[in-house]
Amino acid sequence: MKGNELSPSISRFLPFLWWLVATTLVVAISFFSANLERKTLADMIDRALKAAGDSRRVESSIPSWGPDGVASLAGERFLLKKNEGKVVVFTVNGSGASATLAAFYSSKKSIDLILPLGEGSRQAIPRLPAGLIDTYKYRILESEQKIDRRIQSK
Amino acid sequence: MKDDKDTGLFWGSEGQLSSLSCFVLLFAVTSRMAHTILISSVIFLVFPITSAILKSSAILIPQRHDFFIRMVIVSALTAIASRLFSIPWPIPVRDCAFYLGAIPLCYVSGSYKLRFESKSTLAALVSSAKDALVFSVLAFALVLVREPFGYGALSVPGPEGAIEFFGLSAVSSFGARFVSAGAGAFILIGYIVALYRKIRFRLYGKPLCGDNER
Repeated sequence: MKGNELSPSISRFLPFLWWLVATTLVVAISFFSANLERKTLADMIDRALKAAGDSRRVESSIPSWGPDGVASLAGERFLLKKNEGKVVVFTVNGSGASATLAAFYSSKKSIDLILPLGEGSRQAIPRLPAGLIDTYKYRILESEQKIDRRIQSK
Repeated sequence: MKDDKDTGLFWGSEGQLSSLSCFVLLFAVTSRMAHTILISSVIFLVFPITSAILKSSAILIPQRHDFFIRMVIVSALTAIASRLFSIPWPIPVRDCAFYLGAIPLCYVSGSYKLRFESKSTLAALVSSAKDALVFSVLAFALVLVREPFGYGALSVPGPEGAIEFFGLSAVSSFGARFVSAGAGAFILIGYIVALYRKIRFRLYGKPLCGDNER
């Protein structure tokens, strides 16, 4: 590649320019597509709950900033209606199978339900290594309890 | 004996199979056809556009920071493509999030040198599209063996994950189910590599690891 025509000062500046343009583009597109993706996921959680005969429903997504947003270890987070807890959507990969799951963190500070999102995830669960979903479950539980403790201490 | 560069994208030393980084992707995304379709689509979008951008803006890329800029551009384009594909297929993109990260590695460790020896932007774009085609053909050849034996079905990506369009429950409970798991993929790839080297030697008389190998 020929870059010798440029002066050294411009050459030094150009990597930063490339990095800045690329990062700005990624952030802009992520910002505009994230809302749409969260809405789709919220609809899927509601459908999974309805299929499981659970009366709980999603109210809104929890942004990844603010007092309740940081330090979440895995996945997209949603708030349930009537203060019935939170939902964490996470993906598990292992042994050539992957599944997207929703973990329900109840107001009693425990994970009382894990549901697969979509038919593909439901089929993948028996193929995942034993105990892998439990590992994620305990990570999410620990993370959510940590956030609760931090909010209470403020 | 022909020169390596004349042996084309598939058989040449700068082809997709000559780099182990592409095997990571081949190994990871070929258990479900839904994932193969997603990754192939992203590669078809990212490889040619990256080559076209890098070739057309060659004057703005200082030689000293060439590799860094190439990595930034291909990573950014992969991130943008995965965000765009997450609109129609949110669950498959989540399932493949880890594997999408291997696409920039596959591009920079692959045959990029050939792309920049191209005379024009269009030629670089076409060469990269051929690279993407080679990867897709290999991936589909693998998934057409792995998924029917492992899951007893073939799948396409949909908004709620993999949608199966034919299913045989008898096959999925068959002993060859291990083919869809990691161990089965390693065995299959071993056979493919052995076959690849044998055919390559027959065609061009030049083994992958040097002239002493037979």
